[in-house]
Amino acid sequence: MEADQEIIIAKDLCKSFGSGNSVFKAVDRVSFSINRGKIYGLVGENGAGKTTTIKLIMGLVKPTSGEIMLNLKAAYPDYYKKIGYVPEKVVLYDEMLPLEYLMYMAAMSGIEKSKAMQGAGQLLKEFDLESASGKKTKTFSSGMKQKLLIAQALLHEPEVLVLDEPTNALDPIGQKQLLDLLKRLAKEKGTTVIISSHHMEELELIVDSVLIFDKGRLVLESDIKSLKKNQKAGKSLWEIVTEKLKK
Amino acid sequence: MKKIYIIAKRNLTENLGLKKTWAYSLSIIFSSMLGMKLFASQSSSFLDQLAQLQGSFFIIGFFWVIGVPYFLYIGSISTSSISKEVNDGTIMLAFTRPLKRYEFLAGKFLGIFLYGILLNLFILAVLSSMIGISWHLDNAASSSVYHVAIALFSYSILATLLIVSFGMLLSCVLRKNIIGMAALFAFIVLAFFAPPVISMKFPSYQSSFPDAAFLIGSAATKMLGHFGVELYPEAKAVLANSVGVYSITSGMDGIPGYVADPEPVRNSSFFSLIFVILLIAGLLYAASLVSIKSKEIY
Repeated sequence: MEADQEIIIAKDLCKSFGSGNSVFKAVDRVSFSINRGKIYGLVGENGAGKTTTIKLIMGLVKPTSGEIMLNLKAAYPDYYKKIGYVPEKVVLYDEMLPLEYLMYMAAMSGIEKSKAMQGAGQLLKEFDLESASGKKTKTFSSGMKQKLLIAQALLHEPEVLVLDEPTNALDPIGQKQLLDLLKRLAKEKGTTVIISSHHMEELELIVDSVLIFDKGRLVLESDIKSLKKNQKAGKSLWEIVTEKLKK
Repeated sequence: MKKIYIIAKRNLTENLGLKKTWAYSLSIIFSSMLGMKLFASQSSSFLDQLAQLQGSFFIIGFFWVIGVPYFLYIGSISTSSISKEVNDGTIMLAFTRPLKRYEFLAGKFLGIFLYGILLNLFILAVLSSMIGISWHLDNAASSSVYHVAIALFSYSILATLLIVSFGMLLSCVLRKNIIGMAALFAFIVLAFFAPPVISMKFPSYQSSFPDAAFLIGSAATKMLGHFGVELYPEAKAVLANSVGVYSITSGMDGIPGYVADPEPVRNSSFFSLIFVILLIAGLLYAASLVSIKSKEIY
């Protein structure tokens, strides 16, 4: 895969809810491009527009205006074979066993059964879920559910991985495991990663670029190296960003 | 097709594995047997007794086994089929898979449809056998009861198609399951209970206005005819008063005319009835598809 090839392009993307006097702009004229093989962090407080932007990328909501283009060399719905998605809400089918769940998701992705079985087994092992293989997902802790959710996104070895606040339900060890995994995927397989969080400090360790959202707008887009150049001792990256925003 | 089958299989096995399946089946079987004991009174004539059993089994089957409780039960599963996934958020992962939305809808539809059909097959098979045992019927007599069961089962395929397609449309359009259930209940009341109430006030209503009750009632009685079952007069009277499939005409010496001349109110052909039901189900499904294709997941 060639580096620096744009695979997702957003142009003046807007998403509004409501009508008349009670219109709420969740995403307001956002433009950006995502290059292949890089890790992008979407950062902002709650309600900044990160999740809505991700849902626009994933096609779950339609833009009010503007456009979003996916350069994945596939038409709908086949381009979803190249994208793995982890939603913000931890959502599983409660009555299924973890392997059953992964096999079902693999079948919906069109993965051949034997390959799916092998992949699912490896992922359950990687995320330490093997011991819970006989239990229904409704008995899982939120951290285990989150891990299974991440596993289902990796089943089909996507070119693009989109994760919406995936570390919320994870303990510190789980968070580190996930971030290390994402870094490894980007480096070894050239996977493009888009990860959103309201914690800059966890993202700054792995991302190549950050997109900072505030009240529905993309207020800052920068590569992490440029931001870190300006980082003074004792100040966190988020404090630097906040200062820039105030200016 | 494979994805439709996978989704349908998951839906079917999930529903079959639930305790409510057994609770529903057993309650319908036992309540129906109680109804049979009450309505199929003893008669000294074997033929009269058999006619009463057939007629009572059909009436209970039509109004109860594949009637209001079934419509409500399968209807509730259908009305929550899509809305539950939307509310739970699981639909997000389905819609971000290489899966066309019509495949998702078709899989859901097929899963619930097959569940309803299998449920009816089980309940009718058990009921038929219990009737045979309870009334000590020999093979020939039992066979005539099984004919009624087969007719009811054949009719249930059409009824299930209708109720599942209507329920799924409600599920696609309405987010709250309780509103979908209320709409479904209103439909059942209008379809089943409004016609007899209206025809009491306006006697010519059912002879001039085909309604949902007549449509499904006629389909059910036509099934009986195809399996060689003739209903006894009291059963026809119930159907004439409630769904208008027979007309009550006076005859000689107070004997109702339909005993001698059991014609439906309108000479609707069997296949045209099936066609109309399939058309309605198809239109409802198409409306569901339009709704789900434009659905945004927040």
